Amino acid sequence: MSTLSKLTSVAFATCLATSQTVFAAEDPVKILVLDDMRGIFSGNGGPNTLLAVQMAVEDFDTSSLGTTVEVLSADHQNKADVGSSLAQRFIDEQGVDAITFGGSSAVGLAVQGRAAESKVITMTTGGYAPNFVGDQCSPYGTQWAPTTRELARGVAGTLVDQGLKDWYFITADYVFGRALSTDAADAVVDAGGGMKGETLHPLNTNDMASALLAAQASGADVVGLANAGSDTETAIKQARSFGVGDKLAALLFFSNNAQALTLDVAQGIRVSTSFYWNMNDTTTAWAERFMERNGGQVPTMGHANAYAATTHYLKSVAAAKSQDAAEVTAMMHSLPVDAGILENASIQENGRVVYDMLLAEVKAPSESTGPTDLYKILSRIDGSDFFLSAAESGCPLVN
Amino acid sequence: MEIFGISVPALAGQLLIGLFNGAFYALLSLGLAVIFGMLRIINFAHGAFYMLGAFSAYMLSAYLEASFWVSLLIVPLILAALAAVLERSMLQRLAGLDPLYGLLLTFGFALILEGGMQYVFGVAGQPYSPPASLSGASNLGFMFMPHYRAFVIVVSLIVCFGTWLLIERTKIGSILRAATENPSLSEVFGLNVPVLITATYAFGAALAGIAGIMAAPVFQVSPYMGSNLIIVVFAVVVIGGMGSIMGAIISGFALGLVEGLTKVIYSEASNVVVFVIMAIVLYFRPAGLFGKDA
Repeated sequence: MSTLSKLTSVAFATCLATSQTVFAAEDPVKILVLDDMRGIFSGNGGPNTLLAVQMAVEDFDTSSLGTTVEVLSADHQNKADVGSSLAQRFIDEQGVDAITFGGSSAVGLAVQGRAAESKVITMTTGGYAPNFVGDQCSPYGTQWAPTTRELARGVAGTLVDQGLKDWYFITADYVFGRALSTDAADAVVDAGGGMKGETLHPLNTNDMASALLAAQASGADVVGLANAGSDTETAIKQARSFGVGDKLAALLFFSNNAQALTLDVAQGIRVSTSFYWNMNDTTTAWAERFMERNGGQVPTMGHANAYAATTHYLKSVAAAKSQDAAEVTAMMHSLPVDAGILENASIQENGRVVYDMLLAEVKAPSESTGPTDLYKILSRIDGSDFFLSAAESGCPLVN
Repeated sequence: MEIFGISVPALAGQLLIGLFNGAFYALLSLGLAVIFGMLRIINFAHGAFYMLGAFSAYMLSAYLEASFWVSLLIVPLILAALAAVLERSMLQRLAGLDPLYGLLLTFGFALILEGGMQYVFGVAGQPYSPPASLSGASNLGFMFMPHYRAFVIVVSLIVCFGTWLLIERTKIGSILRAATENPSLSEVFGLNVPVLITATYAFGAALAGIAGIMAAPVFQVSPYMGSNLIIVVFAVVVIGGMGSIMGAIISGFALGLVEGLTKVIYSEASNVVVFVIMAIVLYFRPAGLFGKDA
């Protein structure tokens, strides 16, 4: 075990300790992983995000930094007040230099606001709201996760291009669900498709049968699921018995959902994602090391983005020869992003990280070679004009 | 022909789906009604029993490869045993106190069970497949009716009316009712009242277990599946009349239908319609539709 990994292990163990911990190096670079560690989003972020950040630190040649790197972590429990006070405490007491976070976007936005006031870098690796680089953007913030807009457009636009023109949406009746279905419907119409109808359902609906039956009766080519978490899983689980199992497109779906639902249930669902673990040689090599350390849990795009973001951040610290947030952020924007995890990546003025995305389909059990073989990639989506530009984002920092 | 702007076949399909959800409301509210009617315990752990029923089925299948049919027999027994232990060790001590104490104890027990299951299994739903013999669907002309859903409706009807017959029309039922209505007099006649009380509580929990295992192939098998449902089920019990067995069964199925209808007409209101009806019923009949006036 290298000195570095010993240090990070110690940092792990003391992650929630309030007292100042003395480490060997002077003024080490400190990265805080603030995520939902046990709740509903802990599968696509959570402890595995911490692992990804830790791996990024281990893989980085820290001699170029002239100091050591510590990884700290905390559980915000998806509560905005808990998240923002944890962030403040780690900034004040531990002097963290950068925060990466995931889980509920409401928490992430509160944390990003708090960190911006204290001139601390934020990297949104598991928050999917467009606001992080839109109306609530931070001068020290970057968003690595795709937003609901790209996820919706990725799957909707591409499927219409393939001739699946008539859409029916099953939408969660709150801001997030409605935004997702509006984005997707726009993409469908832009690409020349049409809407067959929509059913709105309350959050946490036990039985989706009613909506599925209506979707089936509409004769739509595709049933778009504009919901998340357990609502999406319920709809997928029940869809097959109503004859719409093969028509589903999930607008926010992670590889861990496919693993949890089992391929038998989830097969045929089309999703868009920024990452799939064996999309290229670099990701495969990384993911295999990742899965060796967590008992075979497939890395999601949230985990991959945490790795890519941490690597890019450390590289920028080394290049800037400074831990000052403004200098490092400027370096992050100017250096090419080449962690190998994201394809053709660059960072816009508003902090938006832009890259190529994937359209994938969940494999049938007969096509899968093992418990981690989940997706087949249908097509790649060129990222260059796919994301909202900085000017269109509504970020007040962009002139 | 159209009603509410949708075709009659489509409406019929939605009503059948409503009946399916009503089957769960009826099974769960029946257990609550039996327990409250006999023991005066407001059993807040009922949702957790339902959740444990589904998880027991999942664990029996995942670790012991037990089939659905075997689980359907074993799971209610597991729940009954657990409930008997809870009743003997804790609830019994609250006999004679305000029902509020029982409510608090069972609520606490539900939180512990849910928290414990979340700790072990996490929050994501666990997979559970319907038995192969029931996995298809029939085209009824107006809708696809999955066989498993039809099966659930039938089983629920049988269990509900069987329970009603058992308690209202048989010797065992009359003994139970006597023991709970006047315990001291019943003991004079040689009945073992504490055992009868434990058995009643265990029976109520077993009903929740049956609902749980039948829910596993369709709904999410997750630690909070019960707490999502139990509030609606309490509203169903209140509408039917606290403690009324026939009231629980009829209002369970009826509210499932009303909810199904709401999903067609104005889906956004589907999770409040039951409570609106509860408010209206309580305004006109404070003891519920089938309850005896206090």
